[in-house]
Amino acid sequence: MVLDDVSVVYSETGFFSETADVVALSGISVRVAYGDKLGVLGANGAGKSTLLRVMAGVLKPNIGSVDFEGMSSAFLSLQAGFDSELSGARNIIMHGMLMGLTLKQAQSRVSAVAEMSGLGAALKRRVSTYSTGMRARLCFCTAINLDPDVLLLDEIFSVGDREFRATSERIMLDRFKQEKAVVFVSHNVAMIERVCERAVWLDNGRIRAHGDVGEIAAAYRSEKT
Amino acid sequence: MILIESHLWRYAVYRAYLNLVGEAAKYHLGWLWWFLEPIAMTAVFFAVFSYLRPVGGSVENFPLFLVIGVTTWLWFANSVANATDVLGGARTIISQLRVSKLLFPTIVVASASLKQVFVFAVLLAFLAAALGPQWTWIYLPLLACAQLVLALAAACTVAIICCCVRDVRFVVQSGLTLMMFCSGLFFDIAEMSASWQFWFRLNPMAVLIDQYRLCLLYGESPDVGWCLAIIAASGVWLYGLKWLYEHFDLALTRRVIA
Repeated sequence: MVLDDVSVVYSETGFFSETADVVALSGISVRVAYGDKLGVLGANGAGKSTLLRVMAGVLKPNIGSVDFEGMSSAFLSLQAGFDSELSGARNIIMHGMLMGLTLKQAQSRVSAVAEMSGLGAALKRRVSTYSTGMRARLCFCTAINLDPDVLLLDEIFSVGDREFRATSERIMLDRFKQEKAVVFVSHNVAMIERVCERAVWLDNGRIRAHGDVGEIAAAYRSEKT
Repeated sequence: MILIESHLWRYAVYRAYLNLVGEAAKYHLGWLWWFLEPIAMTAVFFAVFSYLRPVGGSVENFPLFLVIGVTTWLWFANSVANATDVLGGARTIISQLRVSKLLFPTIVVASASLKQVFVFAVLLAFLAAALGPQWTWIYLPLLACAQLVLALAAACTVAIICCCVRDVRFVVQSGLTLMMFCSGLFFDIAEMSASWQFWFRLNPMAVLIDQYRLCLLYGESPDVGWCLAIIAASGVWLYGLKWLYEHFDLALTRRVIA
């Protein structure tokens, strides 16, 4: 997947209010190949989520181009399109069907997600009764079971307990050891260092630095302290 | 691929089923509301137009005349009214998945239509008990098909307009109320003067409600030509909408996310 000089601008217009343009991304060029594990660092509002939306094909850049090179992607964040009034199991089924699975195929994934997430019987409960950690488990395990070429994760590990983070990290590294790619947005610099090989540091919608994860993480830490 | 991809149709139907299950679980009287809502509206119209402001005196079987109009009108009105904020309501999905936005008004119409299947079943049982079954009921699927395509076209139109110009949602309910009064719910359009009839029959819901009554209540064959014309016109309208939704897909995404 190649992003070439990508810029994204959000506009808000109204008859009785001033037009306001927000530049979410400006001049972003990044390449993600099979097997890559790319970390994305940056403060709130730096453009990290917008970058993932462009990579997911959800948003088209105003300027620049995106070549997906035939790669499929799955974008997951804590605000994943789950219906809080439905059970976890039904949300897994609906998410699978939305991604193109038949009802039977989607139903067959429920047990795998139940086992991987450790949610077990809780999958029969409405998602509105879940803690944020349980939601994160549901999101992560649902996405990873769809087996996309590129997994785009937006702050999914910012909640949940240490055990969940360790388990998810292990699963992610196992599943994406070979041909799969991960683009991983997080404020947890240590986790990005463990999981990723490369990192991009976004600042006000622009790439501040891009390269080896160790060097980027060190520069990011020194700026923040 | 008709309107949306086949896997999205499967999703829409399953989602509609879950919506109905969820809706039934949310209220104390559950699915009974699917029948109580039209009965309550019929009772109000019956009281008003039989006693307070009589207009139904000349109409044969006025309560049944009303109930057919109200049940079919509510199917259309609920489909359109629930589509006003459907794209904004699907923000979490739209912001994460590249999926046709036509899916969301389709789910709204599918939910209302699934509910209508049960409403029609009870209505037919009621009419059979009151008047006896009639052979003209075989036309009901054709009429329902015409209304389904019309409701889908109207819901998709309202959804895209309300997404682009959010202010429109405030006038949709008023527009539906105006359309209801022009649909012959509580009066017979055939009794109006020819010039008024012409204007009223430009409203496809007025035509459909009239045809439902001919078929279900009076044992007459509906005008198949009118039904096919509504299906054809709504179909062309839907394909125009499909082009609009596809052409402005990413602009709509941006509008929903912003």
